[in-house]
Amino acid sequence: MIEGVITDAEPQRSILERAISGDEVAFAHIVAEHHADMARLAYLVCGDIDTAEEAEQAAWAIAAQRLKDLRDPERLRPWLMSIAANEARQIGRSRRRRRIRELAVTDRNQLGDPDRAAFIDLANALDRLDPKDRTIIGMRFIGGFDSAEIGRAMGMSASGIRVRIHRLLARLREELGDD
Amino acid sequence: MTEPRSTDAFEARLGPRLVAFTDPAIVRRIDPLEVSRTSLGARPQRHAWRLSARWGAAIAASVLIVAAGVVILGRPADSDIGTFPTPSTSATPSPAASSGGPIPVALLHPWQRPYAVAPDILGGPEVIRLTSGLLELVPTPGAAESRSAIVATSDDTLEVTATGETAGCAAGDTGAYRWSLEGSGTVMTLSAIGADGCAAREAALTGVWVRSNIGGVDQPSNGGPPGGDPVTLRPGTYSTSAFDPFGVAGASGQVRYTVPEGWKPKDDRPESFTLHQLPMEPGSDAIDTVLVLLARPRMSADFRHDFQDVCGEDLPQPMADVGGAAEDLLEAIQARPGLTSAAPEPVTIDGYQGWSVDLRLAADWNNGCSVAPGTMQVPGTAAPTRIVNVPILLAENAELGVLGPQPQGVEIGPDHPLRLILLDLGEGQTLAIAIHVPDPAQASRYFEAVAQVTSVIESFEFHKPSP
Repeated sequence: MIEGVITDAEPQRSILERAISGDEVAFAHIVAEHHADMARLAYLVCGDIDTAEEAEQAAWAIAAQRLKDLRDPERLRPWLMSIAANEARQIGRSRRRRRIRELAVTDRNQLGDPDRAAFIDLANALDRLDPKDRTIIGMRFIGGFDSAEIGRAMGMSASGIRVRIHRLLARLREELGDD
Repeated sequence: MTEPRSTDAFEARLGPRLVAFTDPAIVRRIDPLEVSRTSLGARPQRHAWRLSARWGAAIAASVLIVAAGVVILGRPADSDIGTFPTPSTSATPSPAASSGGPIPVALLHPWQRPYAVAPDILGGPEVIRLTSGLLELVPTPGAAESRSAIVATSDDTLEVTATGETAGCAAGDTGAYRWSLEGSGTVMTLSAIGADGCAAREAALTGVWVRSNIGGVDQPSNGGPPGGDPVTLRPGTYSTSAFDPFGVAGASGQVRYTVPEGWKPKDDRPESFTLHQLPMEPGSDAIDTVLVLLARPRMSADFRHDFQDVCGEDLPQPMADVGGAAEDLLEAIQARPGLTSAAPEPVTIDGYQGWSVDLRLAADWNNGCSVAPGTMQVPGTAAPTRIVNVPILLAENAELGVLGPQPQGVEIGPDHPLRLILLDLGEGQTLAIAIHVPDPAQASRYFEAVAQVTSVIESFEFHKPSP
């Protein structure tokens, strides 16, 4: 029956198998489909565009080598995003590039822009989180994954992720003054 | 993602803010194929894979148009099973190619321009066919025509010579082009070596082309449909080319589908897309099955309304007072005299919801037209009569008569049961999917056919393009 069918699985499996066999176009398809999520998460974790780009590139190289170990195509997206986050954490840590973002004073027009100020507040609040916590936040709100999926991707229990998300949200709510 | 999500207002605001926060990370474009090549080949090239617009379009198109089609304007004989496209497993020019030599096998395909895959990356709808001795640029409105003899002059160069006067070219005009293939031979780039004697041809040929798998290859030009006979697809996943269910003209790849062995794409136009499964061998037990997709279908008028001349040659007309939403069409179809309808069932295909219903001609339906003696006669009627099919749906623009011999709509005839699926694609767009067994001798195997084609329908992935 057609009812309730999720049609992504079969094509994804086919593409995945072709990519595992070294098909450049199939792997390019995967890159095109997941690049944005990986880039966003890497940037969220490390806070630097160049580092995020490097992390994503490293993540693709790792994914190409280990793709054959991924048996379930439905796990592809969280798997790729977790690799990108790992690389971003490691590269970011080694370069110690993270720093508090400050509102640019050279552009006076931005000083009165509440959206811009809120943006900077968010950046600074994120900056004060542990990189692993930024990964969890990114997996949740950029990836859209639930606690079980995040836990599988990060090697943690679903309940542990759930508790951590609760605490992180409370902290962000307080730091952002958003009640 | 089965976990109940919080309805907390802060969380609801945080998600979009985080996405916006990370927007700078995706401003820089990448070249997926270069990333793929670098990653698979373990050739570290830091920052070497940022996108060039041209290759971005080409590769995205090669992904989206795995087997991009060309517009089929005619209907080849169904009994003529096409050949597979010539395999292009190597991107390496044929070693046999030499001065004045044969065209490398990897090039012997129809090729089409990458369609727009992003608002700022535009491609055209032109199609070229490369056969063993001829290069044809399939005429399309506004495009220059070209038909040239073609030979390979080296491992990666071609020489084309106009064989007659066509738009912008004089007979004998010669040009030289360098070719290269990328990916698995699915993307070809042609670049002129010096100025082509025919400037219009140079403008038309130069650039990126994506291999099309619908048109036949290496067939003589006989004025047939652009791209040649539809070929039987290899089992695999393909994308539509011109079919436009989302109403974004010119955006290819809106429907991706996976077929097993034995399916031919017969029709790929903005308003309709048709797949046909034929028995692979004479005497085969396979069921002749047609799968028709109609974008924005309208309810066809029936015999009591505007469509009186059912026995004549007039084209059917849409019913103006029936809306185009799936529910509107379903209600009108169920109310149509002459049909029996099973109870509609809700369906979801790739996240889009709609209704599925099995339709048959009512046993007591005897409307017909007088015909010559000896033809089909309705039992109980005095005059020789042929049963009139009951029309239900019309393709967009069908009444304009521009669709040629391909299906202009969907109707139900004797021994022609039909499963109809009506999907709501959002924003007022409705898609009709009809499963049809055209051979009356196989009507008893209708549900078997439906079961077989269901896997194809289940494979549908809809890709809504950006307007």
